[in-house]
Amino acid sequence: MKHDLAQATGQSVTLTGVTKFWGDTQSLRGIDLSIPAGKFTAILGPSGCGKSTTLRAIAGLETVTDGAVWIGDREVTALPPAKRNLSMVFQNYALFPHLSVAENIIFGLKVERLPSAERKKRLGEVAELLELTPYLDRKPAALSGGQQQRVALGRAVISRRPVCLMDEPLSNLDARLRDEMRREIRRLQQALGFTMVYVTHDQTEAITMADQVVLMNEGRIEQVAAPQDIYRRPATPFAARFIGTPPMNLLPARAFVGRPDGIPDSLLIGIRPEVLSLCDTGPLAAVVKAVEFLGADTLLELSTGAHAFLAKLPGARRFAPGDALRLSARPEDIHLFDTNTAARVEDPALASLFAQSAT
Amino acid sequence: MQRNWIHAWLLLSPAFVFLLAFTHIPAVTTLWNSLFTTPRGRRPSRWAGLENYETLIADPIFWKVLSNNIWFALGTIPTSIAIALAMALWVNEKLAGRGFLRMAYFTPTVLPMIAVANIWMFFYTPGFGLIDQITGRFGLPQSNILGQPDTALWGVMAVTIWKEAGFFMIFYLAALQTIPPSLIEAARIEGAGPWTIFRRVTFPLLMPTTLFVSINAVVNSFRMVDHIFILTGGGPDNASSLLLFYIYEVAFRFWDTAYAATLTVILLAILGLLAIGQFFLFDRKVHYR
Ligand SMILES: Nc1ncnc2c1ncn2[C@@H]1O[C@H](COP(=O)(O)OP(=O)(O)O)[C@@H](O)[C@H]1O
Ligand SMILES: [Mg+2]
Repeated sequence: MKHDLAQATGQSVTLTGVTKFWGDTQSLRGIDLSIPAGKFTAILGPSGCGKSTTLRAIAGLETVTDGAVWIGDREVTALPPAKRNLSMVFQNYALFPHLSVAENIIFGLKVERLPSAERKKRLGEVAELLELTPYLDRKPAALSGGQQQRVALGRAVISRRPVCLMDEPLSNLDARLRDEMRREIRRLQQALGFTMVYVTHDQTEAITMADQVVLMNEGRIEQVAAPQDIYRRPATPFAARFIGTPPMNLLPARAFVGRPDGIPDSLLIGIRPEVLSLCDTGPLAAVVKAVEFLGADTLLELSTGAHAFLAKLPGARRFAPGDALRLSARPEDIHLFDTNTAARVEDPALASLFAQSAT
Repeated sequence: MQRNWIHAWLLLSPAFVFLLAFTHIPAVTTLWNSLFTTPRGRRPSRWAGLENYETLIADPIFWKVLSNNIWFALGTIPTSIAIALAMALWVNEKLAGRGFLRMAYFTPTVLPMIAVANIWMFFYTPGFGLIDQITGRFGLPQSNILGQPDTALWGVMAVTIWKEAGFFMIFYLAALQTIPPSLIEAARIEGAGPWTIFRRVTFPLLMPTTLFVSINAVVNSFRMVDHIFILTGGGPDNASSLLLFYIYEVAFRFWDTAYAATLTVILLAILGLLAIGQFFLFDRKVHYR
């Protein structure tokens, strides 16, 4: 659907060397990030990692201690939010409680002094698009959470700004509504073509909605990649454990039976629970600690020596605590990380050693 | 069900007894007294009907103090509310030493009115007062603000504004802190400047506080007279006398209690009408959350 509201060109957003201090605590430790125009970029990370700070630095609601922010080909580091030509949706929606839904949506257009005929026309379109037409005269307090969310979306898209920022916009909704709004936001972004920067701590949201995921941890960027790539080839041990449920197992070489000699202790072998399978000669010899039946799959808590790990096995086979199992994985499903550099090691030959059956 | 009612009445009764004893019964007694003459010496009071009210209409001093009071209200209420709001917005900013500023602005409120009046006496004293010492530096002549009929009321109004603004500021400050910062941020993102944010977001959201504060201010403008005793004693020639001050004089200096009761009934009627009027006027524009 190509809509009249479509913004032909989103604009790219670029951060170079951005740091932010709050007194002595540093919440951004040098962010270099390029957000492509017209694409959906999700900033993902655990609570307190600096996602909101990054977003607010782009918005101009927070000044940066160091570094530069660019929107399109314009440096905006020192500009106030009003001059940055972007829109934003807040976690609590930030609707004006004393204004009607219509007044809330056209707030920015009134500030811009757009002629009232044009305001009416756009309000009609946005209300139609977001199914808000019956509620235009209501106050926000008389709307449900999902409707309030849509009003906030309407306010963000009506001014056709090239960049839209959202900070955990779905976290106040219940699970069912969250799924629905996720699709709606994605549809809106694709229909209108603006650049979306979407902050979330929920990996499902990031992976299902985004063209590009920016994974953050402790004020740094861990990885920037498409959702499939961040799952298939995590760049750091943190990325490996953060993306995917249940998280990836990270084991030292000595947990494997018949491991090759000369492997340094700093090497971690990553295997997702869902790629492990039973194999009588598998390199992982483990004892079942606990069993969780999930219907289609069974999740096993296992231990081999001092190391605990998880396996998600398909099928209806029954397991009991105390069972001894051998497990293996295919070579292409083995990830290697160096804990000294916290980086991924690309070495297919080495990886295949941990997939092979023990002799 | 029945027990709940009994409990409710039991819990309400202490407050209710005091309200009756000190507010409702005196108000009704006052109304009753205003319909009798003042007992003097051997002459007991007798039924007077509306005689006292006829006297009141013919009393030039009553009209003088009433018009004084209206000017006093018009001069102090909008100004003190505007100053209170401006101070609250300023003190609410993230600026260094704002704790100190808040306290400084609030100080006049905790001082008793008598003390405030004495401080201002020191400002106003002809020749030696602070104002004359400063204007004297520039070679300006000596002033006598409180001693002249055309400026005395202004002098009293200045003291009132100084005293009230800090008190009202506290209410505005509390209200400002309940406005979520994200509302202001959303407005900033939408391109609004500080003035637009104030006009379209902050001020409308402060409307309940403005209503509350302005009712208080109106009541205070008819109620606060302590400083007049110190500053001017109502003079010169009743130029700075207000309705309540006049009631006090009639009742406790001239001992004309029936006429004082009559004046009091008028005062209560004015206050009641003003409060009701304000409620209806503001109610449409006030957004309660
Ligand atoms: N206004 C502030 N004052 C002091 N520290 C702050 C402030 N805002 C954020 N921080 C700190 O910066 C870090 C990152 O915060 P934030 O960007 O809000 O994290 P996230 O949105 O990823 O949960 C946190 O450690 C937080 O305590
Ligand atoms: Mg956050």
